[in-house]
Amino acid sequence: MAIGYQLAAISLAQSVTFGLDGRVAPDYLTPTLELSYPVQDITLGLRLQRDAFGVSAESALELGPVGRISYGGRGSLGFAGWGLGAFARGGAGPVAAEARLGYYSTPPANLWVGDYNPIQPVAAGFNGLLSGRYRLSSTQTVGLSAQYFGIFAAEGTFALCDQNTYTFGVGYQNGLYGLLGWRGEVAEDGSLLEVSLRAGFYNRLETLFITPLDDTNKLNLRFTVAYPWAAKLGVEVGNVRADAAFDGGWSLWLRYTLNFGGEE
Amino acid sequence: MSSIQRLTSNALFILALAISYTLFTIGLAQTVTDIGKQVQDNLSKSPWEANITGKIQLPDGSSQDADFRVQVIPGKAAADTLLRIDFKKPSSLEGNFAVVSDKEVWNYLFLTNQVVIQPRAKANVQGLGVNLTGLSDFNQLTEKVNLKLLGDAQSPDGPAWRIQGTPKEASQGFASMEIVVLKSDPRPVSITLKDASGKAVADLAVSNFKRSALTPQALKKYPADAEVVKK
Repeated sequence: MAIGYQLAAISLAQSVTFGLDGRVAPDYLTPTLELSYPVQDITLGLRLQRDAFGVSAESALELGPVGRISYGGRGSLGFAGWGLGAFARGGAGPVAAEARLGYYSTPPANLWVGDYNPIQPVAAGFNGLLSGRYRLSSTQTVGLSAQYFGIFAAEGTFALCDQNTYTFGVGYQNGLYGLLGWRGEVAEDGSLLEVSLRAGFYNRLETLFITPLDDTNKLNLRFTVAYPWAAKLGVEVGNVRADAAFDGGWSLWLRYTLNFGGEE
Repeated sequence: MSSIQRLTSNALFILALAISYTLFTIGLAQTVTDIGKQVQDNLSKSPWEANITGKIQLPDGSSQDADFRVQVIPGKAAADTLLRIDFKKPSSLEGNFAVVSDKEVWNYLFLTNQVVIQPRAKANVQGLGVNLTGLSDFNQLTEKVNLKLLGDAQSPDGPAWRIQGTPKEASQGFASMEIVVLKSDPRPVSITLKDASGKAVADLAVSNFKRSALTPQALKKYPADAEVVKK
């Protein structure tokens, strides 16, 4: 139920994304630019904003119908500080796993607006994630994850997939919480709804709704609210994306993506 | 009868034998080509689907149950064919599928909810040790394999031909193959691939064959929230 990562949009061969990010209290306004360019099997990336930039490199091991494992690294530098990170994630047969490790001299959100996350803000210093899922049978999957982002959090899940997917879990973040999730198609046209609720000493409700508009375009709506109060809303139609967030102050990030070189 | 007459008669007999043998072998050679053409024509006349079940040897040498659903929309040319393979077994791959079109190969990975789209020339559909894209294209098979008619056989669906094939190039992943082709509705009903030691690397049966009204949209359908990775 990793909505955050699953919705990593469409990663196309070559793309340029123009953006504008503004926030109130504290006031901040910056244009953003993201470039993605493949060199043989490695996709290079560049991110620019008013007072920071970042570079990245990513590659993948393709296993055909059996799976795929991607891995990469990134670095950021800005007036606020610097940061380095590496990741590997993917699946092969019945196993899926993800590992991430990073070190930032300042909270990562100060170096890239895309790292701003009002729900789970990442602190300066080391951060990391380790998660794994194993498919017990065609309908049952168990998962375990642990992460550190200034505080420690861990979660265990059990997912039952019939026509729809039901997820049950327990986790720890500032205290124990329970997890319930549901994902399934809600219309003949493939419209899909995913809802997950974490409740206890930590509280978070996530919803994702996707519906096709025509043969190529989809409307993608994602809303997350957490208590203590923080919320974010993402809307994506075709090449246009808007991400709004609230955590006491407001922010809005608008983006437009141009894709090149789909054919090779 | 003079000795000359006897000699002539013997010579004629041997000649007749030789001619009939030659005609017989030409007849067989035409038959295996004919069968290939009949299969190709039969499978490319309208969309169809079928189950393929059996055993496949994985690259590590272990044997796995295999159960695939194959859906095919034939194109005007064989290369335009749209093929979808849904994996049911091995159970760890249930929910995964591959779509092969003239230009691209799509691999949908259930566990990570990803669609990996690659140009056909670069794509690897052989992750299971057997190239499944050839299943729908009998012409492609005859280009890569020398075929020989072994004779008749009885399949669960009715009388059939037994055809043996040996790859023209060594790098096909098998040393010999045997295909059983149904006579009444020319299509393969079973395929066995063997390695050089005679051990079966794939032993597959085709069942539940039916003509269906398939659409490209249906064959290319994947969950709306899947991450699309285009290579």
